[in-house]
Amino acid sequence: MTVGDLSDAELCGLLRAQRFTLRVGPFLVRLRSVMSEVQAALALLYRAHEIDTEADGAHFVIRLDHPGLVRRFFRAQAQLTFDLRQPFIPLPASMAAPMLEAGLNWCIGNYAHQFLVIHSATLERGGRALLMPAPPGSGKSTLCAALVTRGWRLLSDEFALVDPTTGILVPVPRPIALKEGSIDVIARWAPDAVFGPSVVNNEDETVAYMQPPARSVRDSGLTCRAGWIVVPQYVAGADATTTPMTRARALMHLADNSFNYNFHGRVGFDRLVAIADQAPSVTLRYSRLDEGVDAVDRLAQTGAP
Amino acid sequence: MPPRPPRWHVADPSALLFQHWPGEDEHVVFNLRSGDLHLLNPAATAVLERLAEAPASVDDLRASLNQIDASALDAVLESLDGLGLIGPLP
Repeated sequence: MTVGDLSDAELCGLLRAQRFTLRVGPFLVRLRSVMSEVQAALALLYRAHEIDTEADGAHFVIRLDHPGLVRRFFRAQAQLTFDLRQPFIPLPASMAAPMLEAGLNWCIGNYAHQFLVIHSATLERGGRALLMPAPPGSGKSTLCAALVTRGWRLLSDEFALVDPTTGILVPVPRPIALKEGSIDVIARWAPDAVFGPSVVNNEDETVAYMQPPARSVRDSGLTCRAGWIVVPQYVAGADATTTPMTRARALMHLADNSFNYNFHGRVGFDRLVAIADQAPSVTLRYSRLDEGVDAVDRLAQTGAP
Repeated sequence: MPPRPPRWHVADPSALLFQHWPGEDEHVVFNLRSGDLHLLNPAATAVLERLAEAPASVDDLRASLNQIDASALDAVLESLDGLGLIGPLP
């Protein structure tokens, strides 16, 4: 059963009864909420994700609710609780979807140590994965959103989850976070793309989430191996240019964007070396989305920078 | 400038993992003790590998690594010390 199979009343009831357990890639996420904003976000953005109403346990148990009765009715707020901890300050209730996504990122980034976790958009074509490891503001989510509308399968716009022993990449497809001008860029690029509401976050940025392709969610059991590394750099006005990276620089870049390679010690290091060794790496400077997408497609077709 | 210590060493050579690809100038070294990864140029790599074999004075290093000039050697030792990869022998 998927979220989209539920009526609004069923979704509401499961969320209130703590029987809503969402399968997000390799993770079971139990959510509890009475907030209509959370229900709306799940119904729209997690439509294709499977749920388990009878799951005994979950990897992450999250509550996303009003911080108190007053803040339910007066300038309503949302607060996220994970394991009796509240990692974020309460925010306006309209921010419920970004809080849920930030909460899941926080859980995976801090606790999913069964994986080598790299901050990277990750996509697949032809059985090989494209990693785009980059910090926020580099244009990786924009490029990722554009690529998934052009035949690439979404593994994640936020994480590469690597089995440290085997090197297998495990998909964790979720809504794609877009900010500011990227929202309109992708809306024009892919008129059929479905977005949640745009909201202004506590850094005064407009944020909206794009529904992940249903096929990517359905295929989240299909793993693959790293095939290419592209480090995107959005540079206003720049023509798209790709520049090969040395493997040493690619290794450093993977490590700089990894949450926990050092937690895995020698195994984590050896795995990053293996990825840098097997995947041709380039930096991609771009400003126009069509050129950026074409550059990635060319790289994937030739198999080498 | 503080006096140069008589001898430098790598505290635990077995904790350093080196990675180099043929045809590339730079080396990567992973320090298992700190969990840090470092990108090193050829001069720094040569000094670190030499000290990982055995402690050495600056004069020893100058003699065995004569491709590195004196001022560059001082800078390399200072930066490797700053990264926690080498230290003065007590």
